[in-house]
Amino acid sequence: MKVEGTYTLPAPRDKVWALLNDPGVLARATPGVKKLEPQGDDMFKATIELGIGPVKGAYDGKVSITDKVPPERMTLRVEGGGKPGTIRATGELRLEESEGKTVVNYTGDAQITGLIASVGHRLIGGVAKQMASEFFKALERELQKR
Amino acid sequence: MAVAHGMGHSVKRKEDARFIRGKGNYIDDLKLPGMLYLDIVRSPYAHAKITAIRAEKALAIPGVLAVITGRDLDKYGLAWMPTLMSDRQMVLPIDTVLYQAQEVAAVLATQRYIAADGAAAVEVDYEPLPVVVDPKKALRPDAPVLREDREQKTNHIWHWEVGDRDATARALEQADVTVEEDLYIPRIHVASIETCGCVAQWDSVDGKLTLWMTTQAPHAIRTVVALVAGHLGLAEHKIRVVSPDIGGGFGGKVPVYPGYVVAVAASVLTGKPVKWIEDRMENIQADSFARDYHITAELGAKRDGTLTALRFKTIADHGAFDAAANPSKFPAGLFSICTGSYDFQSAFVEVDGAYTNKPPGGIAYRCSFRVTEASYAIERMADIMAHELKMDPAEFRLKNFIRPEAFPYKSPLGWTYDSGNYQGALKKAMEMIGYTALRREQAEKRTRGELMGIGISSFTEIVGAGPSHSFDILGLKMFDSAEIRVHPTGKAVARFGTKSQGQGHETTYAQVIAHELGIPEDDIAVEEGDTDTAPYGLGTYASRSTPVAAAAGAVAARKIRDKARKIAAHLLEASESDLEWERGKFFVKGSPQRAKTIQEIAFAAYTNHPQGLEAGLEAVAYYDPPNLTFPFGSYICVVDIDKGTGEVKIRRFVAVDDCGNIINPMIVEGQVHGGLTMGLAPALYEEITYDDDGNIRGGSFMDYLLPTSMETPRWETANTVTPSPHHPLGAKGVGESATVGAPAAIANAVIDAMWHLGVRHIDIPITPWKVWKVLRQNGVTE
Repeated sequence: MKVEGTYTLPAPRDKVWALLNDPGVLARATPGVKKLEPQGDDMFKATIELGIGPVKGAYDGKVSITDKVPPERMTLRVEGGGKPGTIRATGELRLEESEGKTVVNYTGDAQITGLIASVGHRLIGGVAKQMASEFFKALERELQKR
Repeated sequence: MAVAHGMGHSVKRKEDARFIRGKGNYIDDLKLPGMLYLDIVRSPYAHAKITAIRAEKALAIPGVLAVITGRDLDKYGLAWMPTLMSDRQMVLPIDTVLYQAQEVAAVLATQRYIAADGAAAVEVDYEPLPVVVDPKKALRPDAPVLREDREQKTNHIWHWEVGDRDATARALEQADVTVEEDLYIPRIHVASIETCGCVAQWDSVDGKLTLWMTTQAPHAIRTVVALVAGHLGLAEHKIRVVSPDIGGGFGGKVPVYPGYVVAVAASVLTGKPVKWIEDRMENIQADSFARDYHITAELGAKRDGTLTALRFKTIADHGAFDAAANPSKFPAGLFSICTGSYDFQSAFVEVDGAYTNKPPGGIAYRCSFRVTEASYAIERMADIMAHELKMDPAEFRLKNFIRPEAFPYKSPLGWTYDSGNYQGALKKAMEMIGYTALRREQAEKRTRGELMGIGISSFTEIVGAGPSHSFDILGLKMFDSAEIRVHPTGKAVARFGTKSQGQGHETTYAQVIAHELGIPEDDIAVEEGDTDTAPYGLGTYASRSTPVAAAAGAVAARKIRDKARKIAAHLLEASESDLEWERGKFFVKGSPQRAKTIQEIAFAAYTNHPQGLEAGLEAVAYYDPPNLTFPFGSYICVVDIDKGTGEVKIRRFVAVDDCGNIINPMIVEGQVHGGLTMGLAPALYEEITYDDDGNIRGGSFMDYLLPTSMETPRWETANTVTPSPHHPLGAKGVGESATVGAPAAIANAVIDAMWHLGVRHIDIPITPWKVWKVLRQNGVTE
């Protein structure tokens, strides 16, 4: 499953980049994240709670940030599993500055298995889009706090 | 007083007395003292290596007794089991899973819900492997080989062909007109109202296994258990398989599923009865599927409309294991009936089986072994050719039908059709529906831009497997059997090797015996499904019960009548040749008052039997059919298409069936109604698809759309009668005719409504979304 989109954040690129590299911010901003424990080297242990349609459950997994080119781009990898199934996702974020604002282009690819995939498949696309939008809105709130 | 109705009467179904009162006895109704429960851990991945299975958390739950894995079963040589098609299948995997929802481990517990909690607590580590869901990609040389256990390092399972390849190629080259179309018949599921399950009870004192099981073929299962587990001390005389009331089979209850095997192993290990019942999603996601044929079909014809040649090339997607339930010599079932009702000079058909990361199967879902696939393909193509030739589809069919005087007819693909009158059935259907007026209406509506279509399907079925020279399952010849015992008071018990799943055998078999012996139906108890009491038979599927087992019943009854004649001669002090039979009694020629009823004869068989003759009145018959039977019919469907939504509305559907002489018209009508609804289902609604990662789409009733009474149109049914010349009662099977014939009639009607727009074909299921898209592609906007 693929998702892509753009979101414009009202701050310069360096500021957005710093935000994206703050585990505390990531934990607060990412929908469903209950815990995000840094393991060093941009690796995190994560606990996520998610509901897709009728399939609700908790997932344990790891999040890692790779291919960093500050402040232009980074790749996020998420791997996790729980009773409702498993997920392996990669997402690339590209940051462009334009008139003091930052345009974030994101593309992602997810492999999902199990009950979330077989029962929730009609909803996953919509849920993913919604989560992306919630994530960026949360980042915007974080920006206002600073 | 009870009356013997015999054949041709709508005798009320004996079994309904218990079914409509909720007194049926299904597998999950069975509760034994001390019974344990099994639940199954299933794979979330379509293809993965299992790196670890951790049972600790499951075993910590009070009431969880054991977690069984493939490695445990492997110690007893039970990690794999044979399929019916010379392949083998994992019971539980040792290190690799090959499809989503595959069984990974089993949890044994004291309660059903504790077993489910246990299954959820088992932790399994997987390493995902590349997934292949498209059989065409699976057959490419660079595709990952899915079945590492096989010697042949390819996903190609088998190639099967029949007919004259060269002559057909020449005929197609020389044809004035040829048409070619890719037809995909999607993967569907029987979705019977009752899921699969069993109760296994091992008696460690007697060393006897009793297995109550949702099976359409209890005797064959007994033999399979003895062959597979013989090395563990299970001998066939110590195995009893009981098939209780079954809530729909449709072919899905022919195979052996891993849960059955694990339940037996668990019972033997613990010495306690073990119950395993699937839930709905397990049933749809993991049990054998049906169809999944990718057909490239070609027809050739002369300019005057005479069909000359047929060539079908097919790729069959069998999933991870070839667990189809076809007769052994027919890997593509009876698909070679695909020349249908038409007289072709030459034909050639080939099928290649492929492995993919999907559940196994290829079972005969109410399709008489791939006859739905064959019939859909030829009937779709006949319509395409008729339209291409600008001929009326009815006129085209009438021109190309095999003539009534041509029977027995030898088809170019090797079948000998027993009898038929295809013109008669189609003309009757046309008359019933008012065909000429409908075509006029269609032409008028077209001028106003309205979309109305008329679709015909004139199918030929092939049922009653089958003659022992060609038909076997695992070497067991496909005869069937009947044993009749007439008691001293003239009542009887009759046991058969088949097993009803709703077909009404308790009624129809009693009618056959009543017809032959004059004993009232109410005085005959019909029993099936218990291998300790019933004679050996191959079971009920592929519409074989009437062609094979009812024939055995008639033959056994006639043996009894022959003996009754000797007893009657003794009682009447007449010579046997002076006696005449009238249903229910023998009388002396010329003096009808000198008569003995079958009841009087039965009493004498035990109280006053003639010297030199054995006492008693019973007979057994094992019937080996000389040929299959070839029921047929013509269906006409009228649809209106909503241009705004793409919705197909079935306005009328007329079904004329010919199944030879009819035992019970009411039951035939019921079979046809059910079959038509199951033919409507794949035409407009049902399909199981997979995403690129092998995730099932259509694995629950939220996504797998069964037609309900809201979607089902009013069926208008009728019959013509062309008896089978070789069947003792002149009867043919009928249980699957409608499922075989209906999908093409509906699809043909939809395309007929849109042909003038340039639409040649839409793959089933024809959903509103597909129609809407096609209409917009062809310039229709509202």
